[in-house]
Amino acid sequence: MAQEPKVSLRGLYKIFGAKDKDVLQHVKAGMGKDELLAEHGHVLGLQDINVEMQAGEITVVMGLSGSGKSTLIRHLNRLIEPTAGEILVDGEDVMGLSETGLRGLRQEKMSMVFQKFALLPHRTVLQNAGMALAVRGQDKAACETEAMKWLARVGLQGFENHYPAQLSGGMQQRVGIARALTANTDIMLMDEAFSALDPLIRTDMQNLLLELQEELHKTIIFITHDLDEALKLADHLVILKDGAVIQQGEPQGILMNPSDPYIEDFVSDINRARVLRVQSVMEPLTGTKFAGDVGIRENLESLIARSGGDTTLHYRVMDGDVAVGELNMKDLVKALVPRLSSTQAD
Amino acid sequence: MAFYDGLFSVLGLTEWCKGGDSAAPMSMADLLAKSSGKETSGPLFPFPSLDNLSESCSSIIQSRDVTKGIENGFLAAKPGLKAVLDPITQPLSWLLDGALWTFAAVPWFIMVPILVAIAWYASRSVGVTVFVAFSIFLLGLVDHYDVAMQTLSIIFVCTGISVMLGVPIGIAMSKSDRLQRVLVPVLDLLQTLPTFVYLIPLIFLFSVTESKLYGIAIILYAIVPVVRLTDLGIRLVDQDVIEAANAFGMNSRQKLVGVELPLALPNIMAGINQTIMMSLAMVVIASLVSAPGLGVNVLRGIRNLELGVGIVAGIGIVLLAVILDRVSKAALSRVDMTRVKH
Amino acid sequence: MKNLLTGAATAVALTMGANAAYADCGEVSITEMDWASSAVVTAVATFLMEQGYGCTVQKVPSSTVPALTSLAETGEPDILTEVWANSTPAYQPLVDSGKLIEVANVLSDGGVEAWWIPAYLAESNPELTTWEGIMANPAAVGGKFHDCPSGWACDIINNNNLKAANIEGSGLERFQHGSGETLQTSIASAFSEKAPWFGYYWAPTAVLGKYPMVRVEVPAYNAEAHACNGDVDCATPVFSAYPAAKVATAVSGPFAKENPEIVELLSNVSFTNAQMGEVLAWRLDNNASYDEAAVHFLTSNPDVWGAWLSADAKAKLGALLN
Repeated sequence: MAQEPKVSLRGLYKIFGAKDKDVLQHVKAGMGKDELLAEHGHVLGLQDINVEMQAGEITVVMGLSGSGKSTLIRHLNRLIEPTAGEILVDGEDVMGLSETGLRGLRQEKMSMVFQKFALLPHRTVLQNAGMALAVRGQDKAACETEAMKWLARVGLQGFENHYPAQLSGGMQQRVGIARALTANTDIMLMDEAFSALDPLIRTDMQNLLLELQEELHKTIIFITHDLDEALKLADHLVILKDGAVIQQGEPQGILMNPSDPYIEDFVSDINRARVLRVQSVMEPLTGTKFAGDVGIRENLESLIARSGGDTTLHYRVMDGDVAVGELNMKDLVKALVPRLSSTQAD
Repeated sequence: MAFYDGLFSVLGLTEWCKGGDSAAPMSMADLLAKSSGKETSGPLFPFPSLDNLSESCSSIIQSRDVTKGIENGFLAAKPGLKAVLDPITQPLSWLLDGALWTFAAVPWFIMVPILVAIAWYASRSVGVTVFVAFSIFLLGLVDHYDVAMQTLSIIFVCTGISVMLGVPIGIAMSKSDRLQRVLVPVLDLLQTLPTFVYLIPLIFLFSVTESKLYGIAIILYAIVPVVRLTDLGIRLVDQDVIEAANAFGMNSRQKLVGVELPLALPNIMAGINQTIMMSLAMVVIASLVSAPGLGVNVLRGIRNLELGVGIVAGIGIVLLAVILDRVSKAALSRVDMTRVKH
Repeated sequence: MKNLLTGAATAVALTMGANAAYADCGEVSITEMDWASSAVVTAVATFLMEQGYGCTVQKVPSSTVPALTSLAETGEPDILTEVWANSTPAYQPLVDSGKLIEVANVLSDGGVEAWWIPAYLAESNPELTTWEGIMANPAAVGGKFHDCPSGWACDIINNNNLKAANIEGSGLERFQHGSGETLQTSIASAFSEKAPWFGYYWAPTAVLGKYPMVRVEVPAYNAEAHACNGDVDCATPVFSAYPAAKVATAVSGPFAKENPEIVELLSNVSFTNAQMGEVLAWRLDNNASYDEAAVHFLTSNPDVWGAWLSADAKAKLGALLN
């Protein structure tokens, strides 16, 4: 039962330069980024992007600098205009919208959180949080009530009358998130929202986001260059390189089956034991003797600790109360090593 | 034999050249030549200017014909220009005359407290307010109260109009690169073209007895900083904040009023401050075209070598400048929310 | 032999003497004031001094009061052209003290200072050529009296005259110009559209040379009244016309002692108002420079200036005099 994706990008191209539409044909014929720059003086931003973002999910677009991820997210609300392609939100082509229609889209359907917070420095925290509603024309009282509610939710109760310059980075980003939440939109765009924060605060914010998502089930598109963050947050992971999608899919799946040497390199450094979950390594239930039960979402590290390093053990995998599979410690240990060993095993 | 004779005969233009009107006045060099009986020895290779060329070929106009032509062109355009410009600029005359009358008619014991109150309200600073009161009393003490009030009223009106016209122009400039490219040379022109160059022709358009003549002189010079700095201030607004405003669906008006102007305000206030200073700088030139006030005293002092008169009036202008500068700067720092202290 | 020697010695002495006459001239500084008639005088005088007397002339752009002050304090510049004596209170004391020597009335008719209306206005409304006529109908002249800038002597004199004539509430308003330039331009502007104009001006000037104006009849010149009018504290001013103004050439005392030949020349340099007016009008019409205006005068009036020169100078400038 495939439902209509909330946001859909089809055949999206972006070339930076004066004659972008003219040189597009070269890119479609296969010209690469370096060649395009050298011969035509144009920069290739995005190449043939085809991504579907489902409602209620967190889609993480990940890549290194220059991969085009910031460019991509800005196409969704047309802060940047594409050279070619379709951008569909709730089935409607964003490209076909008039000025007024586009403003309506930005006010009602999408909100955004920025890497450098982008708060209005001359307004209080409360006014900043209520900004989206004020733009829509709601009266002051309504804006303030809603804004106070969300500020409290992100843990900033009591700071309503402060100015952004008086807050720390983490607190400012909470205001940014409160602002986006107050807008009450279905879709939230987050452009490297936590990259400017220190690691401990970053973890807090990631947990806050996951918590909010449990409640609100928004469609979140999240940009980052941090793989750990991506793996923690993503329901659907899209990896970009030089403006093209290298691989996209379920994060655990990408980890287990990288399709490209680039991605293999990328994921080689992570702590697989901590990141990989039971669900990725489990086998179908065959009913042998079990040493115990494990939750489907538990990570392998906790299981290694529990098993005490004994690779002969088997565990039954539970999703809530239902038994859904079994896990052999041998498989677990094999999964700890990147793909090359798994091909050897096959 | 002039230097360029050869050139014209080579080009075959000798016949055409003869047809020209060669009634150029005799130059001093020619007279000297005639007197000493020697050939005029000019430079070895004279620049191919109109005057030098017309020596060889009288059909070529001289530079003086160019200047005469410009003059005639202006006089020909005058009736049309006057019909358009006179009514548009009439309100300026009314405002100036009205302000001069008001500042003169209101007695000092009402006027001075009002001015001090304005200073307090704008700056909320005890130091500035005391300084303002002290300066006004000082000027009054040396019987310069009347002329100081005249100058002050002129400055108020001209600065007010400069700001009211200049800020919108600056906003328009900041939104359009093309407009900026057109206006920047115009602004450069206004700041550097010697005022008398365009003022004297203006007397042909408006009667010199109208106060709008010196009003225009001051405004054209003083409006430039506020235009430039409004343009700059808006262009320099943090682009991240603008992006956020766009992302949340603000329209142009909401962006301008809610984001751009408040964040550009420090620069705009700096522009207003400079506009006030430049208006004061123009006080003496304005008096050359019949503006009343401290400038008249300065000119009198210069003409009669009454050094004391000139210096006292000059110091009066400086005092007014300092008062207005301090008050406007204090008002700025109050309004600038981005520099809230913590 | 002795005759030869004596003859040679005499010749040498004569030559040296002649050279000495030129060497005496040496460097001369002369003012070039910032109005037209003065500039023409300076140009003509400079030419004659350089070509006829072998001087090296330095023109010093200036105006009346700074030039007088400079001469009084430092003895430079050597020659002041066109000092309007009436309008310059500082002048007479300097002459009295010997620092300045007056050598000629450079404008022989004297300068004319008066109140004027344009000729076209006088033609259409002849009654406006008298003061009474104007007071009866001030609106016909535009309701304004164009007065000279603050700091000029005429400012004080006109102000007192107007007080004496009691114009308060009559419909005639005094408008004080900020500078001579705007006063002059207001006349040009009025003529360009045949508008009414009434105010103060003086001759010889380019303006009065070019734009025909008619003097307004006011009460006759009264020396006592005029003297009081020149004082800003005059208690009871009495309406009086201006006298013909003395316009003089003056030189510094020391210069006069050392350069008698030049002083002789300068005492002869003098223009009638007709001559000066003609030159100035010619200059405007031909868009010429002051140098060219001087050339025009020199080429059209060799008899006039020939008479000013010493015999030696006449010889040197023979080519032009014929």
